[in-house]
Amino acid sequence: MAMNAQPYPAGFEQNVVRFARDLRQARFLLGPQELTLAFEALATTDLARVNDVKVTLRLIFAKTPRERKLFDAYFDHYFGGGLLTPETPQNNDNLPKSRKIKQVSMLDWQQGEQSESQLDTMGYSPQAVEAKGDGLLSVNDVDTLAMLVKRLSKQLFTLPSRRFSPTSRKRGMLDLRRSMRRSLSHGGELMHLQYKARKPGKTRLVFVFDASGSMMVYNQLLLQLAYAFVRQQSLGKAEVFGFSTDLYYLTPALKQGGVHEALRAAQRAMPGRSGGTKIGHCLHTLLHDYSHLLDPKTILIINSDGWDTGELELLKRSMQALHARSHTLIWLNPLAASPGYEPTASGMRTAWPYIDVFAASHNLASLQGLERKLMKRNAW
Amino acid sequence: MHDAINDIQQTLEARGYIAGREIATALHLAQQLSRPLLIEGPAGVGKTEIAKVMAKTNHTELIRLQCYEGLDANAAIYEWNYQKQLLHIRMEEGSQKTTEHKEQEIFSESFLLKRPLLQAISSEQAPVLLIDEIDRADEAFEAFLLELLSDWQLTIPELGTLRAKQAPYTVLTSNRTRELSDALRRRCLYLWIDYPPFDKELQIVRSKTPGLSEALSRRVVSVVQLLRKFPLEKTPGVAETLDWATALTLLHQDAFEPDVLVSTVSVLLKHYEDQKLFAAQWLPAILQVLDELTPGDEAASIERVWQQLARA
Repeated sequence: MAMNAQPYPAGFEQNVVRFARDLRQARFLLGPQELTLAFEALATTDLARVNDVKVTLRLIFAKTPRERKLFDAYFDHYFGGGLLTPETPQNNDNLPKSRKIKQVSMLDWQQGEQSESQLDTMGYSPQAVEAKGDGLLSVNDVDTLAMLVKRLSKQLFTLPSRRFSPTSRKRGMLDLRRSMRRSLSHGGELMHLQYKARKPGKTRLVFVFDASGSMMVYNQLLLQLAYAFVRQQSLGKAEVFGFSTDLYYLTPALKQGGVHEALRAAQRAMPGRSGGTKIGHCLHTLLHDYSHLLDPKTILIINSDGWDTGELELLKRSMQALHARSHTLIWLNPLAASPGYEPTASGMRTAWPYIDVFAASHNLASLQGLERKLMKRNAW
Repeated sequence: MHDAINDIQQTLEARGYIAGREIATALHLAQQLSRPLLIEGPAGVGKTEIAKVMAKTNHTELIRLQCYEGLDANAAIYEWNYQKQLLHIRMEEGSQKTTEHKEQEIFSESFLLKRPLLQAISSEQAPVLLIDEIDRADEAFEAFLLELLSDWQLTIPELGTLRAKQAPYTVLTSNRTRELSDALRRRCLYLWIDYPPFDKELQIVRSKTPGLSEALSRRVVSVVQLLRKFPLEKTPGVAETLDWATALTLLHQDAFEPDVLVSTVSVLLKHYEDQKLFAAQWLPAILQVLDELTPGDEAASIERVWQQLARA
């Protein structure tokens, strides 16, 4: 259909453009393409029906469940008084939160800085990684971490997939397609048979770490490990969550900008971190709100010392379900390194029966211990 | 202005698909703008059904590509018929044809097995292409789809680039077992279908199981709407509602009885845990709510009684 089948009322086009710009500021995925499409669609829409306009724009502008939820609030706020008189967005109180982040970001920034400098002074155990200046690992340690992530990933991200790749040895199945192709050079005579075997598949890593007070000193190390997992491209997808009394989804934050910016964004994304740990509640949230991230190919890593101030029964049920829903459940505990460690913390004891692999995580060396455990496990 | 959306709604209804205005608008725009339509939502709310009914209303073929992990280009676009090629080469062994000629022969269209995507773009009349459960295919396949979805063309090395004669009406569905890429999302119109509200679900039950009495239909929908409020492992979708309604018709039920609910609940709840909790804890609450419902205004009264229960 031709564009502008009907002339729009004066001011309407500008309003839609401004509306789109505001949505973009709220991190909606949209550009000029979507705008053009929107006008093309509106050309066939009855503008007298505000709800039709809303539905039309929503189909084009909102691309994820999150955006869909936000969209309605934005639209009502913007066009609540009619399509031609958008309310000048002065009073933003009834708008969803993501919009406000920009306005208070300076404050958050300062708070983020503070908590980081606190972390620096606390430091790790003597043989642990030294936190330098801005709270990052030293250059050497970053290399070690990168190597470690690579090697850990090799252990973590290998399950046979349904895809095939050629093999030279005579194992696996006959690959008719390649045999056929190869035979052409011999005038259609099948001289050499070709074989194929299952390719190692990619798994999904879900990394959930305790960011509560008792685990504060390990936070930087864990965040950087999480960052490395999220940013590696080659092996598989990683999703990261932090928790204390609530569960925070950190993957989007860790994907922002460079390493400094990403780590700061992740710190900012976890606002309330005092007031104990509710492991059970947080794992329950993970199960229900992010169930789409858990499947038989998921490797779930939980990092916590197991000090739980929440309901133990809920923790038990959640662990049981997580164990059933994931491929491997790994629990890392920074305290596990101390000699003669026993899982005595209430939460730890409750979770114990559902853990596939248990390892220490107080520094880089201990994470290498995890690699060895995984190798043993994968060996047979 | 002529209300095209209303027309679509009515056509769909005539085919037995009860669509809200949003779904109708989505179908209207997908056809007007020739954009693929990406549909997400919980299982069993009729995502796949949309494509089927779309094919019926357009009197065109439905081509379905069921995605699964490891789905690759050979299963989705084309494959050469190797067995046939080998036999052909054998048969032609004694002939005087040149190698080039032979090669041309065995890589012609008669040796080509068309898979759904190739079928979709080589159809004379624009078909409905349903790419079902795209989230199950891996990301590499999703990336590969991008070329097809934006330009409606495919490349086969031996035959060259094939352009669609008519851009197919494309519907993609996803159950969100993983997040789809932004690139794919941006090429599509995005529609989220949720569990239908009371009135819409009642309309669906009426149109699909006409044998069921009005009172019982209302009860059926009330029970399902109520069950969805419990923390279930697997929430029953519209498909389950219809299965249950059909089951009750087959049992020749004309009034609602608690016994029948208990004995047929396996149609609605498909998890052992859910069934256990249902029998042990929820049944009395459900029956109590059903007792207090105002006939004719179930939707509001379910909400009201539920609130009271939650407080108690």
